[in-house]
Parts: sequence; structure tokens; C-alpha cells
Amino acid sequence: MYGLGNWIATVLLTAIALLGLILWSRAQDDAMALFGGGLLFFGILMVFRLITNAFGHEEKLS
Amino acid sequence: MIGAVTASGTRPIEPYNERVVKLFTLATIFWGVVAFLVGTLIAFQLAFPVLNLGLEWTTFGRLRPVHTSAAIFAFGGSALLGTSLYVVQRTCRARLWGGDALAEFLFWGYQLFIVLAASGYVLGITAGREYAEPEWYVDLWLTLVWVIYLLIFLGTLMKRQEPHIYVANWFYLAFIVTIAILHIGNNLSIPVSIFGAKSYSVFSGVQDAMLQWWYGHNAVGFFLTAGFLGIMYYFVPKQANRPVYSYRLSIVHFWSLIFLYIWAGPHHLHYTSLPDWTQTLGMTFSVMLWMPSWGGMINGVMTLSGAWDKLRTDPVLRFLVTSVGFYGMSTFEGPVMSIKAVNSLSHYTDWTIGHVHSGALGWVAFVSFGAVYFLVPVLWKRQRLYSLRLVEWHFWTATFGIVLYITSMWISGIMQGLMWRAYDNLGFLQFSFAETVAGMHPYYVIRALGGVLFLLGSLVMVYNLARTIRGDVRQESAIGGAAPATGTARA
Repeated sequence: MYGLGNWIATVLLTAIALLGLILWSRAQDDAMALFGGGLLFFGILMVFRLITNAFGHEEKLS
Repeated sequence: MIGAVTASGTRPIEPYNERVVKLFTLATIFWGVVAFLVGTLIAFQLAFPVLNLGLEWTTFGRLRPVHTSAAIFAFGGSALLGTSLYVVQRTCRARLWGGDALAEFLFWGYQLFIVLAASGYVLGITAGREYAEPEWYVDLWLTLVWVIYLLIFLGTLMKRQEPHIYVANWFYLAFIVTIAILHIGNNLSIPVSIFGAKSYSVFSGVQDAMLQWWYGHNAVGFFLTAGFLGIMYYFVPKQANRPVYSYRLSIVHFWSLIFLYIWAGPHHLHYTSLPDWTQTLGMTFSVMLWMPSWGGMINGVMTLSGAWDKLRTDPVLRFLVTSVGFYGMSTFEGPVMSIKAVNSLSHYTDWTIGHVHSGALGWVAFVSFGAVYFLVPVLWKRQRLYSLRLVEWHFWTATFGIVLYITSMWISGIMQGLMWRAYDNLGFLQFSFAETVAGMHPYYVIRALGGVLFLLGSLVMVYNLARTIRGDVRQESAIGGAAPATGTARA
């Protein structure tokens, strides 16, 4: 998982975060704004988790 | 992060992913308390309307879906996802498919779904479909998360190192696949704008109602029944340390339940504009459902054959077996209520609410409590629970709460139905609607007190599990005169 899979997951999560940003910025009501913001932060935090996990894995191997 | 587990056989296996199971276990405990708390609040709101506080966000209408979704999808869903990921790894002797990142996405993605749904309800955003209130954007998000869940579960089954697929996995898989179909079918809608929350269903009129209750009843059948039967088939034998009473019966139970349940939805629409033959079809299949349901109940209870004495000394097992008893009771009551003659009295009354809660509290919550009490010492590698005495306190407090709840709703509901249909000598209705509401007030108070007891029991569980996770062990005398049960030989 700590290879190509991580990169694919990162790309998909970035796409989710970007979608969230677009939805948030153009939201017509509070609920959609909340959803957009939720997706944005979800994507960013999951990518952050992927990075920390990958570093942890590398540290374990070294 | 990951439990180091070795196989009892000769082949070494990958360590299981226990982190995601731990997260779902903690989420189950947290959302359980939230669901019970909001449920108790809205029960008091019905008895004392001043508790609506005069604010739109805290009215019964907005908090009721928060309670139902928190109970079904947040508490029940987290229990199902967590236990299924635990069971599929253990019974397949395989680590979760897709890696840790995918499992983590599943957990946090599901939690995001819960938060989005609940915040929408409080803001007044709803699709107006019972148990499927989230609007289109939340539905799409859940679809994505659910597909990931299906992939992880199926992938793990496919890479299993055991030739046989244990029956609990069959029930979990039926739950995952059918909920996906129901969710997509029921929520087909067209958004007004891609940047707005509002959407309209593609169905209308009686077809819309039929779709709603095809979904609604099968949410009960496949989310609250099939999935939790998966829990029963794994955790009852494990806690009792006995094999399943009849594996053949479990297979018959599975296929008959799966075939019959999907047809029963129309019984929610008796005496409506739904074609009469459809109503009768729904009633007939509901009555037939009694057989597989009781087959499963008998299988669960009889698993204790030769180990009945453990009920005296092991309150965790008591939770599990009592849940199966409640399953039997509510799956008897359901077919009875689906009969049109009975339904003409019971429908739209509090009897239905009592029925639902005997299933939700007695079956779903109790079997989940049993599974959580089993899992926490195993996952956190503790010798045993902090206190079995506290488990016993939880058991009796919650049981007494359920009894108060369902008996008050039986009386209230039957009284309500009888008052609605009472005529005087001149053929006029004998009671106004307001009079029926006033008549139900004492029972609403009793129901709310039942909720308080159930909530208190869950708080005892939280304390007990927190101390267990900390590694504390309470010195206490044995229950029933026997040595305290330990968590050994569970993993």
C-alpha cells in the first residue's frame, strides 16, 4: 500500500477536497456550504494521514 | 496499531487490522450515548412541549430524525461496520483487503456522513423520507463510502485462507449488498441545483410511498436484522464458548429470511391508495417471515445448550441471549401487527413506537452491547472487563428501562387506537384528537423515564469500558457464586 496505492489515494482525495472547495465557494445554502467545507477538510486531513502513515512506515523499515 | 495475531494452523497469516475495529467500537459507544440522550430528550418533549424551547433547531420535528439516524446509522451502523470487519478477518484468516488507508477512509467517511446528515436535520434540510432523510448530496457521499465498504469486505472474503465462508459473513454481505440497492433505489432524485441542498424524488404519489416503505421496511430487515444476525452468529457462540446449535438451520434461516423480507414493505401502507392485492401480498409475506425469524432465534438461544449455567455468572452473555429473546418477541409482534385487521387498530398509534423500540433497544442495542463488551478486552489486550458487576447493573437498568418503555407504549397505543375508533349512539366520534393526546400524557412520562434508565445504563457501560481500556481491574466478588469470567481464549 505504501507505493502506487498511496499516490492513487492521494490524487483521489485531492479531487474530493477540490470538489469540496468548489461546492463551498458556490453554495446556495448553509447545508451545501457545510457539505463543501466537510469534503474539503476531509480530503486534506486524509492526505495528511497518508503522509504521516507513509513516514511512519519508512521509519519502521529503517 | 495492528494486532499481532498468529494462526493456530501451520500457515503464518498477516496481522489483522484491529485499528479500524477499535475506531468503530469507540464510535459505537459514543453514538450510542448520543442516540439515547436525544431520544430521551424528545420523549420528554412529547410529554412536556415546553422543552421544544421555542427554537426551530430544537423542535421535536428536527430532533426526531437526529435520534433515529443516530440510533440506526450512527450507533447501529458503527457496530455493524466494526464487528463485520472484525469477524471477516477472523473467520477468513485474512487481513482487510485494500490496505490501512482504505479502511481509514471507510471509518472517517462514514463518520462524515453521520455528521452531515445530523447537521442537515437540525438546519431543517430533509428529503422527507423516513429513515432516509438526508438530501441528495449526503446520499451520494454515503454511496461512495458504502462501495468502499463492499470492496473491503468482498476483497477480504476473496483472499481468505479458510475454504468455508462462515455464516455470519453471509448475513453481513446480504446487509451490505441489499442496503446499497435500497439506498440507491429509494433516493433517486433530481437536485434543484448542483450547488443547493434541495432535491425532488423521481417518484410521485403511491409509487413514491411504495418505494419509501420498500426501503423503510427492508432497512429494518437488512440493516437492523440481517446485519445484527451476523453479530449474533459470531458473538453468541464465542461468548458461550459453544458451537452454533445447528449450522444447517443457520443456512435455512439465511435464505428464507433474505427471500421473504424484501416483499413485506407494503404492510406499512394498509388501507391506503396502494392496490389492495399489494397490501395483502405484504401482509402474507410478513406473516410467513415469522418462521425464519423464529428459526434464527431458536438457533441463537439453543447455542447455549450445555452452557445454560453461564447465564447466571456471565452478564455479557446475558445481554446477548436476552437480545435474541427480544428478537423473537419483536419478530412475533411484527407479523401480528401486519395483519390488516390488527393494523386497523395499531397503525399510526404508539403501539408501533413500542414495537420498534422492543426491536431497537432489546435486540439491536443489547446485541451491540454484548459485542462491545466482548470486543473491548480483546482489542485493547486486557485480561477482562474492569467490572462484571457494572455490566450486571447496566443489564438490569437497561432491561427495566425497556420494560417501562414498551409496556407504556402498548397501553398508550391500544388506548389511542380504541379512542380514535369509538363512536357514540348517534354515530359521532366519541373523542376529539386533543382528548386522545391528553389521555396519553401519563404514558409519555413513563416512556421518558424508561429512556432515562436506558441512558443511565449506557453511561455505566461507558465508565466500565473506559476503565477497561485504561487497564484497570476491579476487585469484586464473583457473580452467582462462580469465578469471574475472563477474556482469555477469545481472540
